[in-house]
Amino acid sequence: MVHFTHRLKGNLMRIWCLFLLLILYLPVLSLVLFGFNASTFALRWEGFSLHWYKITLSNSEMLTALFNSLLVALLSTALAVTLAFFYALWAHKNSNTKLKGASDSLMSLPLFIPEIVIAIGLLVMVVHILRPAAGHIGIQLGSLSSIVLGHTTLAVGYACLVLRNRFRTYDSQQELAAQDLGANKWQVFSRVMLPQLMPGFAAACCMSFAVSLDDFYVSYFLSTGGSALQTLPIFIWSLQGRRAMTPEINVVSSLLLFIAVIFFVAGLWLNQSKAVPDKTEKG
Amino acid sequence: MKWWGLPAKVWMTCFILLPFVWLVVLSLQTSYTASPPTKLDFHQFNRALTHPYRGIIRDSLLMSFAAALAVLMISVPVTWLISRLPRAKRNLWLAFFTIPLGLNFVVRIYAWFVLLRPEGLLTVFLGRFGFAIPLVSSQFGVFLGLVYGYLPVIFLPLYSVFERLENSHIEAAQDLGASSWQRWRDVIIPETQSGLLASFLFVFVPMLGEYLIPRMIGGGLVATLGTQIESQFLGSGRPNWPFGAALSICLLLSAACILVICFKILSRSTAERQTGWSISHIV
Repeated sequence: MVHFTHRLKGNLMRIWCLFLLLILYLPVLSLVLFGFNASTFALRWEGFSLHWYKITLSNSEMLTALFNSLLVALLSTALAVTLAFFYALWAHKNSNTKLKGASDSLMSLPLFIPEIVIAIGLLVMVVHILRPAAGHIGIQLGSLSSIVLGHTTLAVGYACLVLRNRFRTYDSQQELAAQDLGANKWQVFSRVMLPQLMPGFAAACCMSFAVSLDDFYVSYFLSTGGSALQTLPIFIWSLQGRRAMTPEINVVSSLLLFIAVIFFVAGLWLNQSKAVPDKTEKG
Repeated sequence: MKWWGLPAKVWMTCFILLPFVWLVVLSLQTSYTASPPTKLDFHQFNRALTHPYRGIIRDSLLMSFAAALAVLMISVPVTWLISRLPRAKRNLWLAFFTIPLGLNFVVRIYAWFVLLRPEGLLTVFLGRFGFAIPLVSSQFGVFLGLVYGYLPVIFLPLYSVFERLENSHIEAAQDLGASSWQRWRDVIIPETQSGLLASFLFVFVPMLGEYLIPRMIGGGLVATLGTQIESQFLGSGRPNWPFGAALSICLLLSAACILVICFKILSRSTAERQTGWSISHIV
């Protein structure tokens, strides 16, 4: 490696990096710290206690929101990855580049359109078209199904991206080899294709799950109306909107942070233990 | 095999493209009725482009532009430094900067908001040095919020831009006696400009439609496109869906215009230098 900058300049850059890390982490760490506050208010420090953890963990509203979030994420991940997987297979086999390019851009729309516009489009769609239409056949389209629908739409974009990337390094020769050796269609699929695609498949699942858990806009716009379903981000948002802020919000946030860090470390570890370089990872 | 791509395509058409068409139809109505308009009526667009709203659109554009530029400038030194580290160390450092992405967006913004409040750490700290500026419910606070919220988002795309840059070109420039400033101006920036632009747009477009940050940090006093759209759809006052639809189409159109302008400028300046960059490379 070549030293591009003078030592002084290099040090300045390093200081800048550390400063940035401080800025990035300071708010989050202070949030976690204040979760252990004994005070009734979120602002003054009055000593260490687990008081608010006890209260938050027995808050049924919070637990419902957490459950809703996980349920929505699970359902929309399953839907999105299935859709994206078959799409990626199709795109891989198809040789019409023009058609493929057009459909690839259709699939990647959720990545480039501001989320608020997608959310509004879905809201208008659900209220004006889907609910009346479902009502005609006698189905009640509640906020759970509409939120799952919205999250799936977002997640399909990301899952497609990950899977299409994975297919780029896919080795079709192995399929032909397997056929020559007398494998039937199912054997080719399960013994040759799936093992090759598994890492991409897992990455797409993680991605979709994360997109769904992180989403605020779609849930926010679609959770209005009669029987509103609260996901965790919406619950946190509603806590923040209340005048008297208690450390509860800090506790919920810290719990989310712990989960995120565990997932992140696990992902990093999985990535390192794998010999194949994985370029599909994002976020 | 031939039809495997169909479900995903139908899904995206139904839940992304169709809602847009419906938003356009909605925005051409004078008043809120659920039936399609009988004649073309640009009343809502006229309203969106006159007094209070024209200013709001302009302010949102300017603020997102400034914030996206700030995010880019802040993160360039860091990602550059990381991309020049020995390969083994890169992932670790990149992880440090992107872990905050694993934390929920609402939580991250709330954590930052706590520091910006009048009794928050940052405000008190700045007050000590004589900068007694209100950071909550002000344009500047929202700007800071946008920067903080989108800083971790730009690291990965920007890193992948710099990672692809060949050391040999910079070494050649150095051998020919270029100063570090000249290396940046004549080699690094020209070679990466399309990637830099794509990274910029990657944060600029979502910033433009941001609702959560201006609402939380602006406390309802800072009007942006996002907050206006939200209040037209879900506001506690009299919701006006056609006008909200018109505003969101304005949002989309301005984002699209800036995208097109940026890439026009770029394609002109890189006509002779084909680096083969597009947005899809960074995500």
